[in-house]
Amino acid sequence: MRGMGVDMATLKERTQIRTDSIEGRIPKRVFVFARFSLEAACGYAGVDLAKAHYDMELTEKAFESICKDFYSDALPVGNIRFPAPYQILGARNWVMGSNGAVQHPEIVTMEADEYDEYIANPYDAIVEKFLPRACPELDTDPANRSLVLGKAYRSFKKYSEGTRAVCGKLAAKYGLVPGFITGELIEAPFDFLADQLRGFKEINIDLRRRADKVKAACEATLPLMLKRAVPPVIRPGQINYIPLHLAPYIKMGDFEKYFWPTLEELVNGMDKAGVACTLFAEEDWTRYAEYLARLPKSAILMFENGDCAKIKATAGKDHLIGGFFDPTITLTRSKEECIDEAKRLVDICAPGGNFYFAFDKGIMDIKSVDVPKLQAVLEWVSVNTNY
Amino acid sequence: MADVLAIKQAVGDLDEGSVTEKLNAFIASGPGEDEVQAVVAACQQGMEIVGEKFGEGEYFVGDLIFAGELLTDCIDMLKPLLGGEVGGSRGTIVLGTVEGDIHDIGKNIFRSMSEAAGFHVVDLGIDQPPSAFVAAVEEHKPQIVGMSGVLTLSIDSMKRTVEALQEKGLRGGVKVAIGGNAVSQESCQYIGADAWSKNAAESVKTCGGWV
Ligand code: B12
Repeated sequence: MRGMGVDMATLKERTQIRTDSIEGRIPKRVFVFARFSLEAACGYAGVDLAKAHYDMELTEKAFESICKDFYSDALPVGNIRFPAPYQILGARNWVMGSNGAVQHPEIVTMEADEYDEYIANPYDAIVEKFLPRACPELDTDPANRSLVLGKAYRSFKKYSEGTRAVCGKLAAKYGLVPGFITGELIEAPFDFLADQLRGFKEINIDLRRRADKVKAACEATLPLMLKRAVPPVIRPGQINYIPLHLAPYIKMGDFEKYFWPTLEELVNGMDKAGVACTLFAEEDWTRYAEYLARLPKSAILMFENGDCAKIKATAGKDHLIGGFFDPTITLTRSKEECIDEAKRLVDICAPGGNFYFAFDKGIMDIKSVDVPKLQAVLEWVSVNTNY
Repeated sequence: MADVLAIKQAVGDLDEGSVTEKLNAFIASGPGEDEVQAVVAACQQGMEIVGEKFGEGEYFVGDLIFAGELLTDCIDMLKPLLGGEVGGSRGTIVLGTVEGDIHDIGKNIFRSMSEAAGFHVVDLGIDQPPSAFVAAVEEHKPQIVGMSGVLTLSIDSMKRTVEALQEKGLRGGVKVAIGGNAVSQESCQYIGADAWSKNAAESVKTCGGWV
């Protein structure tokens, strides 16, 4: 694989391609940003996932096997969901399943009749009421609560710093540059309300029964998200990550009224402060492409499904876009057909620049792909995309 | 006499205000049991309209979720007029979301619709291992076992559940229906189920034909 024993010229080239992509110049070729989860990396390396969560050497072994064997310009691995801090908090919204995967069960932390309280003072309501419901270990006297929080924070720091160190080491060793996610994880205000407070089911009921409250709650959430998105000291080149969740499941009218306005304000606010972001459009956002096109150019877009030609012609005109490639097709199609599919995507999206190659979503399970075929696709993109 | 067509349409339009108003007026008129059954059926047929609008791209998943809630509320309003339970006489369904899967919105819609159609439903909840299905079948002696799952991995859990029923000699005594986003004709055969559907209204009809 070309990934190994990387020389300075390669690193320089990758950096240049990345910068050109971000700054809207036509790069020498399409930038490759592959993404594998810790689950997938462990599956590939034959490492026990449940153990790797707690052992940075195992994490490194799993991550390194991916960096070594799959072509990517950007570091293709990373992890932010560590079970240890969630376990200390007794978190009910992030739990480790029997196979070691950290999953998100639906919970309701805010009741329907608590909207007004949240709207009046969202921060206090979260800290005093909703967090202890999500994390029962915090539901105790103040002294013990601060102990639990301290322990959880220390644990989070240990694993996040450990993971960062592993990633830094691998990036240096394999000449990998950062992808388009380098900053904070932020949610659209509507998604925060849905995912963290009301749950998927309840928010859809609220949209019919108390839509005004939903709107007011999104507005009350916006400053909290902005505060997290724009830290006092901005790292140069900070690109926050916003995984977008609920929009594809609601009607256009509801999107326009309840989902979009506070998301747009959030992205505008970041842009003004000099912070970029990558928005991951889960499911199919084709019907919202015109909205995405209105965002400041600092917003990078990543898509799961949808009509890539239509999206290229709208949101992709001024914005850097990527995604769309479904790696699971490698299980059912021949190597040539898989490469053809990558070529089809590149032919539509790469001309004129503003395109990077990425999977439609991070690979969660290595068994959901055919490894040699996927390697061939990534390799193909890295040498055949001089537009 | 209730205007069943209007009720059906209001449910299909997800117009909660209008549905509640119509049902309250109907209940106040002191209807007989047959009439109540007709209105229950109308609510259920309203769900077919919802399914059609979903298929045509007018409704989205969020609307399906609200539709499930609306139907459950309708049934709850009408239940007292039917001696505490809607039907319950057509047979028993043991229902659950299979192991490893915590999605239950589709399962709950199927439950409401089966209850509306007169089935007694024993709902095991989410993430249920094969042993839980086996225990429930032994205890409740249902005619039908319903498994729900939307994850790719749910197919394997369903297969293991059918195998567990087989091992205990229980498979022959029940019909197995599966539903949820992950199922297909192919997976139905692989699992060894009797029927599959991604449309609860259709599944309820199939179940009706079995008892
Ligand atoms: C809502 C939702 C959630 C909610 C669940 C809330 C809840 N209480 O159920 C939340 C946010 C919690 C969630 C969590 C997760 N989710 Co989710 N979720 C969805 C979503 C958006 C909708 C599913 C749904 O409810 N559909 C609507 C219902 C009405 O449809 P239905 O289930 O098919 O039911 C109908 C019929 O099938 C039938 N039916 C249903 N059951 C039965 C049973 C019988 C017996 C019969 C006869 C008929 C029948 O009747 C219903 C009405 O007609 C889908 C995306 C999508 N487009 O489907 C993703 C999706 C299913 N989720 C997904 C994932 C990956 C997850 C998580 C693993 C994410 C994570 N990293 O933690 C976790 C789940 C953890 C776990 N172990 O299960 C993936 C699955 C990918 C895969 N191939 O496996 C999907 C497809 C999203 C995606 N594009 O990636 N999710």
